[in-house]
Amino acid sequence: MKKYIHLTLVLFIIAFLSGFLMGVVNDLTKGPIAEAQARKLANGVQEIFKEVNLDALKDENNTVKLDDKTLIEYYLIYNDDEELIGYVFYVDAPNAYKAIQFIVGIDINGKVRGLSYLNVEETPGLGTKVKGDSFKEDFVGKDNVSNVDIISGATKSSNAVKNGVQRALDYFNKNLKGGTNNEQ
Amino acid sequence: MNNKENFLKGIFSENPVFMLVLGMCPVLAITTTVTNALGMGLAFTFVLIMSNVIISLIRKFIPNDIRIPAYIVVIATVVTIVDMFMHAYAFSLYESLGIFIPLIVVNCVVLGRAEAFASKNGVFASFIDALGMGAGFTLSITLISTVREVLGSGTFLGIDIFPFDLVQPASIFVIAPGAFITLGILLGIINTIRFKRAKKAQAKE
Amino acid sequence: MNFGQLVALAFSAILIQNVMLTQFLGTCPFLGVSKKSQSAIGMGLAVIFVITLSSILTWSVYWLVLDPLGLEYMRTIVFILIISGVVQFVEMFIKKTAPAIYKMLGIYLPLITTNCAVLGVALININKEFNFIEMVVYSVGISVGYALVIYVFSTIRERIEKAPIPESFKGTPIALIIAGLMSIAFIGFAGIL
Repeated sequence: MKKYIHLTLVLFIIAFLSGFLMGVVNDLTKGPIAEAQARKLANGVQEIFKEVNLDALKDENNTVKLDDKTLIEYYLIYNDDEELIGYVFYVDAPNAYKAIQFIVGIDINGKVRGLSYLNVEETPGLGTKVKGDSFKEDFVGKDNVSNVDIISGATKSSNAVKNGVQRALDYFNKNLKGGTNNEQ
Repeated sequence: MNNKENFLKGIFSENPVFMLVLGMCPVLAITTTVTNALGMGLAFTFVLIMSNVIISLIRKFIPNDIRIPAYIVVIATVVTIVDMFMHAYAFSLYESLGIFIPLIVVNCVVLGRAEAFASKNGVFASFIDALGMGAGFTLSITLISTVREVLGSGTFLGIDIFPFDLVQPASIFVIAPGAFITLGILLGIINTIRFKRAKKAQAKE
Repeated sequence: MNFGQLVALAFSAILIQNVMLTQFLGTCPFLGVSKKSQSAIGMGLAVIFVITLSSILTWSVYWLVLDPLGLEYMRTIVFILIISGVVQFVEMFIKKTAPAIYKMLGIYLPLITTNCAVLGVALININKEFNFIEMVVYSVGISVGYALVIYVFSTIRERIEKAPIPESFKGTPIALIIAGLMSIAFIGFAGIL
């Protein structure tokens, strides 16, 4: 009996110390992790809209959550003169249970400004071809993306991106066009 | 066994990848680029050193009956801490290594070294052992990833080494089958060299 | 998620995202316990059993205990302890109730704790934010896929025993190359869905 008490006690001490250590490290890294995540989004937005006012992006009122599995949310983008210059949609493109998350910028005239990937969980070398510049540039300036060429070897991934961009454009045309009827 | 031999055995005679063929999951999965392999190698070496040193320090307090669960708790703690630090300060590397960082917990090499070496030896010897094993692991996966990245994407460390599309990279090397085939052929080549050396040594005698 | 999508998920878990051939989880037992088809069957069944049971447990603990308490960062350590507990428990339970099955699976059960497919699937279930039904379908699918591949692989290895292979490629090197060829074949399934 004494032996079992001893064993339990030793295991308990080890578990307690490890839990304590993990808690300390978690507290230390919580801030930097959130910051790194936010920075990634901000960098993506800046890649699309070079004139973006990053302070406005931090304002929570400029983020609108959508009740949709593909279009997660969108951000209102202001320039330094506090004029609305466009919208950025956060898209989670469904692709046979592999995730592609990206943001697509649409200016107030309803034309695609560009896209930037946040997370591409894809076969390296094949699906990841969607990250290539020529594919991304194919979208720029279009208000309908049905004629964008898909990439051979990455058919499904490029189709997923295409459909995601089209969904964002459709949403824009239906709800945001004109830029003034936005009461959020 | 002196420190030098202790260190070198991890790289040559007991190389975890090419000699013991242990802990294959990360070896196959994250060797698509050299950058990933180096990141994984560093994380792995750090976990190995920390767990070996801690286990060697506490080896006298742990009763024999519960040593395996105790080692697993120590290793899992170290891995979680590494995971959190990488998430905070090496964000893109963290994302490309994905679940293979937490999976270091079940890597046979880490638990194997704890059980076979750290539980019987002093702190400094255990540290050297872990350093050697980590270096052997890192060198091996760097070799594999160099082959795969150069042949599969035509780049090295992300830099294009075949300018003007002189050579079309064969993308089979970066996808799953390429991992198995590359490792299989490299193992075969290393075995060939080993057998030749053994024969030479025999002939000398 | 409707029934059709669940079938697609199961199909994709068994063949397209095969845990061994495309995600490289569980390589050690795959290479170690596949020399005889008899032992491959035993390992495959044990894996199905343990992955399903431990996935249900880890998923429940994560969403019912760790997530509400804000202790997500403890998941790796909690999951590995649950898995080794499950393995121990399954071993004792089978030994008492079904000695015949124990005889077949007994020696493979302890090996499963270090099979990274078990912890891998538990973590993937959380990362993909599956609901309960999706999680069960995915875990069963993944483990059936593993059992299928390890059995097919072992039958190939039994045949290749008699083939004239260069001395330095015998054993693991040729086994890895076979796995590579199987993996090429499995890529073909990706076109179906």
